[in-house]
Amino acid sequence: MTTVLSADVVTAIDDLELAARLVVEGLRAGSHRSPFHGFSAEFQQHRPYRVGDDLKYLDWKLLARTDRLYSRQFREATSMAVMLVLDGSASMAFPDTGISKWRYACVLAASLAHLVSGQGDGVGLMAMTGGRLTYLPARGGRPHLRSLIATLERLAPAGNWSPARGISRGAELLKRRGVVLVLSDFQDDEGAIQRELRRVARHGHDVAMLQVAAPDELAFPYAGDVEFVDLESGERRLVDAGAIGGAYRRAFGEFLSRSRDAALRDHVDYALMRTDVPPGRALRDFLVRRGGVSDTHRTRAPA
Amino acid sequence: MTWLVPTAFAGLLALAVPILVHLFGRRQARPQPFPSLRLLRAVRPTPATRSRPSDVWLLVVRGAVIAAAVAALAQPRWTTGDRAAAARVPVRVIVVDTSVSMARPAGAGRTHRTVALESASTLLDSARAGMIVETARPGATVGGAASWLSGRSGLRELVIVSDFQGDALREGDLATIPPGIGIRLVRAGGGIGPLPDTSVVLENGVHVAIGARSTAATWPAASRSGDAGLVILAAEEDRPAVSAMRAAVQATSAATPGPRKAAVVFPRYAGRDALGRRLAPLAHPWQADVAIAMRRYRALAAASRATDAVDGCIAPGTPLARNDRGSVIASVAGAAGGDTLVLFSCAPPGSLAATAVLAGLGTSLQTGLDPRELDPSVVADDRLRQWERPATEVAPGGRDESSPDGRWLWVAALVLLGVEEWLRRRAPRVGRSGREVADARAA
Repeated sequence: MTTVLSADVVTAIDDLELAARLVVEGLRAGSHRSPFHGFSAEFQQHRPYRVGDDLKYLDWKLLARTDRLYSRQFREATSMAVMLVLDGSASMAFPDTGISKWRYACVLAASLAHLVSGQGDGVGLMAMTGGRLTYLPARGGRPHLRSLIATLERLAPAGNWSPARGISRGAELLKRRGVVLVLSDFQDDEGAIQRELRRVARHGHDVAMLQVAAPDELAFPYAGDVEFVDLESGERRLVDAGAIGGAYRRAFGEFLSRSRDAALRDHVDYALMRTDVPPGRALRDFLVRRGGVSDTHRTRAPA
Repeated sequence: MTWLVPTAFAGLLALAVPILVHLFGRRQARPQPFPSLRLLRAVRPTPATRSRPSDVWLLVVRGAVIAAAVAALAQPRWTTGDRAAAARVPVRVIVVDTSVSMARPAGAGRTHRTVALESASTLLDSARAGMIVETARPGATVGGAASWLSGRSGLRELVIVSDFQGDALREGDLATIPPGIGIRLVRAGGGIGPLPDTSVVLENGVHVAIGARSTAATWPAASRSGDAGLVILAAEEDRPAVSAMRAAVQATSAATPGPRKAAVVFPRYAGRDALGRRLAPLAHPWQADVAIAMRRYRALAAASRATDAVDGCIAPGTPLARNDRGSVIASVAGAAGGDTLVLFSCAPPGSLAATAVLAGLGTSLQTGLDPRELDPSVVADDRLRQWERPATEVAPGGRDESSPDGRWLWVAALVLLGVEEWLRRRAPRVGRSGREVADARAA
């Protein structure tokens, strides 16, 4: 029996490595196999052929029988590469009190790195803060893990995020096909993001989009005259928050739906990460969906 | 519906206060960092402008509170059928001339005064409210009567019942009556005509003969004693001084004695304290008149300043005069036997102040005939008709009007205050963070 630590507790731990370890400890209780599928020797399943897949994984026999293109998918046994792409734009600093999306994303990223590294796989980091790219190649081992987490600790969200640069550079720097996990609020140009994710997925990478959202973005619990300040552009807008609350919530819901639908359409894994959900539970749900963690071992956080 | 205090509606200007507060007194909207304004722009946000009230319902309720309070202060009076009918019945003040000239006979053993009082009673019975004022100077009473009527609602009327002899009433007296108050002038005993020869014997024994061309008054010789109604209570050893004072007062007085009685108690009189304990309050208006006249008697005031009060002397009652050290020299102590006015003196008998007390008292007790009463001229009927005017219903002044209808507006104002408090507690604060708002709503 494990306990899922609340988001407040986990994100309040200054030591990111400790926080990640606490999250991963909870996950490991139900972990039986890698949640990240590679293209190694052990066959696991078929999946529809995508442009860019190596033809050597094409199941010719199945093609002959069904006249359909399927790639054979193998369980990554060793040396799988996972690239964590982190959106470090200023919008991730929201909210200014409580758990920010950036801190939550860092805990998720550190936990995933801990998990992947613990399985003997390589994990890398591509973060973009203040217009600067911070890159760590995908490697395994404890020293590299510590270096990655230390890098995450140093970074602070600022400026804008270019999805084209961040996602594509992260994927390109993987020396072979691997897993690209993008942690962002995806509040930027939706079209550009989807194009980039689609392109990376077509190049054979296993792409997952972890959309981080704060409760205040979802519920929009403001009232009266509020002067909203865009964290990235600095633009200010004085609005009657009470009057537009309903319309904004609908628009945000549609935005999330568009992101999810586009991900599904492009065979990109998708998960909404609410910052008020314990990181352990959010990761478990995500990994269970990917088939890496036994659902029977899931535990709930105390109320 | 009528408003007893319509000027209170000036308070509606206070409605500007909540409006200005809502328009300009709003707190500065706190900047709220937000990830992206992209979606806010997409929903075409309602712009918040400084010229729009921050909370319309709160503004409406606050304005209603002020309006209800102002309306209550204006003292509304809903006009029901009974009230409307009552308002058409006038309120009257009937001034009855009781001067000497009204003592003329009016036939059947009655005088013009009794006839005037009967007319006044009839007029009062047909009035919604009112009073009868008996006075020897109707003209001097008009101002007070008009002032009383000014505070009444509906039709108001001033009636003067008099023979309008001499200058009992002048046009200038009526000029002080506010507009809206009707004036009715009733000549006592009907038409004027030439004054018949008549003679009147007043209560003090004075005989007045009023003729068409002349009037004569005669006094009985026996009543020329100036201090016939005056009793002096003093110690035996002060007898010479008292005699001297009495002689001095009689030598200077040509007063007409009347039925009024007074006693002056000097220091060292043996029964002074016992008499002081037995005295009753003043019982007749003339006693108060005498007291007032004594206080205004300059000779007494001047003589008292330099007079030393007898040691240990106490003058109870209302002081009439004091010396320079503030000691009471003379006072009105009360009434004895109902009809006798009793004065206490602390001035030693024979002193100038004591003599002034006797002289002043002798003058004040006189009931002489006002020479104007001997004037045979009267105001003509056509002149009286010119002075008259009808009563018009004006907005009530409200001093005497209770306004039970206004209490419901006070109740409404209190209820609205409760609603305002509820709205204020319910409204979330502007610009608070979502968690604060959620917590406040949960609380």
